[in-house]
Amino acid sequence: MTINPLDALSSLTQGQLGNMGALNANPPAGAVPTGMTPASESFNSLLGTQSTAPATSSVAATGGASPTTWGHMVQQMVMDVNSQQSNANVMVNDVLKGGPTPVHQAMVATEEASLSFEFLTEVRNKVLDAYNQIMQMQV
Amino acid sequence: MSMIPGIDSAASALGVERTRLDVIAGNLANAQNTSDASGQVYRRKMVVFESQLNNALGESTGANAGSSVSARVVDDPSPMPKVYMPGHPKADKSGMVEMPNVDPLNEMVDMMTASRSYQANLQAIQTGRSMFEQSLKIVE
Amino acid sequence: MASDGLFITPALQSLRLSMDDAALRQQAISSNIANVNTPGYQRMDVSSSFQQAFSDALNRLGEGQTLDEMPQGNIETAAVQGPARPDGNTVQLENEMVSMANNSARYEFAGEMLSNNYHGIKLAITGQP
Repeated sequence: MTINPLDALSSLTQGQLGNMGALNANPPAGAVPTGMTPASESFNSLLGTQSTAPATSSVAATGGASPTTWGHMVQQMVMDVNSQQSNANVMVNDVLKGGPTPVHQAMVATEEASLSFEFLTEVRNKVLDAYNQIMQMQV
Repeated sequence: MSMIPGIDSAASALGVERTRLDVIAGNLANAQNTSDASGQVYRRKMVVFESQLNNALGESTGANAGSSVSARVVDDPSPMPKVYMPGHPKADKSGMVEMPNVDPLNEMVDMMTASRSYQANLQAIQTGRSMFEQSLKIVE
Repeated sequence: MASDGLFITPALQSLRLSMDDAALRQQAISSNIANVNTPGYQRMDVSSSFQQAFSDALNRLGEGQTLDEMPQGNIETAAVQGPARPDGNTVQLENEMVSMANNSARYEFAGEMLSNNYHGIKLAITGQP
């Protein structure tokens, strides 16, 4: 895979995470995608986590570009975390309305969305650190 | 009502048992009453219980699934006992007086049953509440 | 979603499933206790299809596999009923109370373990519990 850290990191440092997320069509409200994209699978295998679900694609807007660059992977992660958080919000709202969602499932979804977001933040921090180290190297 | 599991059912039962206790109290108070407001001898009241599902089958995975209970207060149709009291103002030609069809022993037994059920339903609400509080700790 | 790949593990899935099962059962028990004096009432329980799916899932999770999807359950009138009282009611209050105590203990245990797990994951991510 081709790594272009400058692209991804300049976007990150300029706070364009939101723009990256907005590039994709809005994830359907309340939908819970059950699969993983190929980019996510490779990312997860980097981390050593298991991926047993069949791969389905939920990325639309990158126009068919190969989803194996850092920028695309981070973009995919941001959208996934976003949809995870909105799904958790849907469940919490359902509990508040008196609907059929059990409260512990809403709690689990909230906690997992929050942890995923922290994970994403840590990844960003580490990548930024690596970039800074590289930029400080004397050539 | 989806936060505390089972609270809909338990709350309905609390109301129903409370109604039954009120009815029992009325029966006991009027156990010797041969002439009520309309001049009739007091007829025992009783409570008829019915269960109903909380919601349609499609929603039975939520916290408000299961059955509740409801109650109707009806007159007890069983016959009135007659007692021989010749000097009584309501005595008939042969000196028999119609007394209310209330047996205090039956009412006491019903009262104990209602009270036990009330306690059990309170326990169900407390247990559900403690389960809910535990689920909040997932996010701590 | 990729971001929940952190959470698709046998331990977390079995804990979540246990809580689902216990929450359902609590509703059935509460219905039974509420209707202990209702003539003709047949006691309710977690559906037998979900009980089967639940025990199969726990076996698979115990062997280290993960589930592709979590089984869904509901409650219904129990398939097997015990002896009925003269008014047709099959609820035994003492059994329901004991069952309720056991069930809430399982739910709270699973909740505590889940919370513990999430603290561990958070520690791994951020270095703080």
